[in-house]
Amino acid sequence: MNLIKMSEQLNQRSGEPQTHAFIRKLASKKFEELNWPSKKMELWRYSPTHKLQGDYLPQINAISEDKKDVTTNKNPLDFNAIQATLRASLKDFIDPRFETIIIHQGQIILSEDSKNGLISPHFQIISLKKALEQGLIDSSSFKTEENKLEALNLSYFEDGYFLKINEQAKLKKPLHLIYLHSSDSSSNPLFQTRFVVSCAKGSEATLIETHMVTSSLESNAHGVSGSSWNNSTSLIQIEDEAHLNFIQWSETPASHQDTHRTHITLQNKSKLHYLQGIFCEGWKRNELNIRTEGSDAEMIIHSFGFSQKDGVIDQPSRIEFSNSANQCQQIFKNLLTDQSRAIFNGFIKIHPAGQKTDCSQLHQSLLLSSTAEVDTKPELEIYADDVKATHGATVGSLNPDELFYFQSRGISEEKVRSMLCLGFLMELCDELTVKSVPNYLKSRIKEFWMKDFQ
Amino acid sequence: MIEIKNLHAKIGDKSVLKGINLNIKAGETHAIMGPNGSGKSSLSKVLAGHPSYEVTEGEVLYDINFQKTDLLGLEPDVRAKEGVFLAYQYPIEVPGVSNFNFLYEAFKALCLHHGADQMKETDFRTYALEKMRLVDMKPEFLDRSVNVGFSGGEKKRNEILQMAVLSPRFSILDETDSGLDIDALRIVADGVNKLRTPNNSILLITHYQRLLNYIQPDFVHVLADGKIIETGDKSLALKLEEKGYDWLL
Ligand SMILES: Nc1ncnc2c1ncn2[C@@H]1O[C@H](COP(=O)(O)OP(=O)(O)OP(=O)(O)O)[C@@H](O)[C@H]1O
Ligand SMILES: [Mg+2]
Repeated sequence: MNLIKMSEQLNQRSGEPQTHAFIRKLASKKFEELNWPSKKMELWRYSPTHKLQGDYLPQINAISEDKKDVTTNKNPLDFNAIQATLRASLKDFIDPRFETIIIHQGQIILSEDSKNGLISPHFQIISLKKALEQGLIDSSSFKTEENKLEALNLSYFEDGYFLKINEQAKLKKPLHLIYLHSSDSSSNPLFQTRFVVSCAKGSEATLIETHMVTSSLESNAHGVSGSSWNNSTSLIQIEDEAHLNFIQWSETPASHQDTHRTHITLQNKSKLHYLQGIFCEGWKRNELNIRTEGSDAEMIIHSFGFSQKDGVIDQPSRIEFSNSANQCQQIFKNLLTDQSRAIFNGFIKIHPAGQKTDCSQLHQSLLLSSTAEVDTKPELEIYADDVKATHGATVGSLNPDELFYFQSRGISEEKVRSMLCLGFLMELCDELTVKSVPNYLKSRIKEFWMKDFQ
Repeated sequence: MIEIKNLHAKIGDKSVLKGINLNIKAGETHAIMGPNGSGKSSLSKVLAGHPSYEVTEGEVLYDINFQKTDLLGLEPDVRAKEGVFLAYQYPIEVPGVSNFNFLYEAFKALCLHHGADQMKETDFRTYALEKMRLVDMKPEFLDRSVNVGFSGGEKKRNEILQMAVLSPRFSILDETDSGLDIDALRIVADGVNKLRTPNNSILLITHYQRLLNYIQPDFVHVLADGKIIETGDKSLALKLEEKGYDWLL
């Protein structure tokens, strides 16, 4: 049976509205047309593309009735019970200074299965499907691009959330979305979810996303067995004069993989402070795709990652400046050990209308073992003359002067190494201006480091 | 406290110490002056155990539990835990590690080494803040990354803060006075004086006689081309200030 037919059947079965059916139909057509990523494609050259089909192809080819039952939620779930269990198992992640919302297997878990999601005077967060049904978003949030995995996501997306920050709303509390997948060792689940965030004019918000996989509902994120593939997309729109602090945190255990796409558009005088934190023993790919739709926007794009064992941190980044006087600072830092790898492709395009663009890009890697590897490539296309654009990449090991400085204060070499590595990872957190967030992130980094590295 | 005997050292292919002899007793303060590039910082780094320097000849005996111990045979962190402290001429910036963390880890290592009870984090904060007052540092410096964005003078104060927290037995202050304004010089010197006891020794490296008005040395040495070429009391510093080094070389 071909995919298009199958997705039609899925739609009939789950009673999805016409819009969904239409989206899925278009996307599955695209999916059929496009080739699977391979080493021959520039943006996949160093990626472990062989992992994409393997165990998952049978699932893609035959998404079974069972799977759909879970996601279309025929038997109403006991949300209160799930919420309680999840909150208990995630207690380390839940910080009282944040408004925490849990998304489990693509579904928002609120106290009850509320029809309108969670609404406050400043924002609304609702299941993506419901948002579509209620006309809160239109199908433009579901555009199929020339991207096989995007098409895959659109064909089969289970759900996700839509978050709207209202016009002029200033969110005092950061919103923390804990995005959790449970995978047991017997199956190789493939998760497809989408997130849509819209920051309306003049709004200010801090959004933290934590992505992780657990073995079961009750267990903690560490030491997960089995394997899974999470193929998800975030779409973020920042309107005029809106300001978003967006923190994406992910933990990808060994033999799990996460192919994520983050699309961001910025309008006039908007601000984005993006911070990505990656802890990876599996394969974590984030395709960052940023476009300006106005002038005078300011962007800070920061990323820090730690990878060990066979972990791969895979970061194709693409930024397009189509308007004038936009600013962007990009810093990517990765700490690699064992035979882990970091792959970076930093594409920047300044269109003829992009006069007075000011952008910089820096990729720094710290290698703790001789078998760790970095593949980094900047790519600048500049079609405007009055611009500033710089890029650089460094690969090194710990600074011997820093090592000696700390050692000469009585701290053992081993401890100093660990402190300096943590410092390397934590440095970018300090740039966040919302006070509670750096502390939270640092304690997470520390915990992860202590548990899994030492 | 410490006996330096015929110490020779090189960095890369360059000989920087060419037979240093120096004996510092407990409670004494010695000053070293000398032209740029004469080897003053090199001497201090060799004593602290910097891995870039290779000792080619000589020995350094340091009192540990009333026993003369081969200092050069100890790892840098062990030297520090045994009370050797170097306030750097150019303190390094370490992004991502907070001053508090740095001080606390150093203090914990020290306690552990000497079998003392560990101090709780909150108690240590109180202790560290008290020491910060000694060198007139604002509390917010405790949670900033080590030396990052500190002004020259702030870096120097931060070194003395570390000294105050760790209460070393043998401290080397490498040009702690340069970069300090007049008030800061007095504050830092007062801080150092408070840490002086009959059991502690200090080696001051400086270019300026002025510091020696605040921290009175028992001996003044002149280092030139890797050797001590003159030793005297504090009047030697005045003479050098007046005449320069030419008459000695
Ligand atoms: N890494 C190095 N490689 C080669 N030569 C070095 C190195 N580090 C220091 N030197 C040389 O060693 C000599 C002594 O340097 P040192 O820093 O000890 O001088 P100093 O007496 O402290 O000078 P100043 O008064 O300027 O601080 C200088 O000639 C210096 O250039
Ligand atoms: Mg010097």
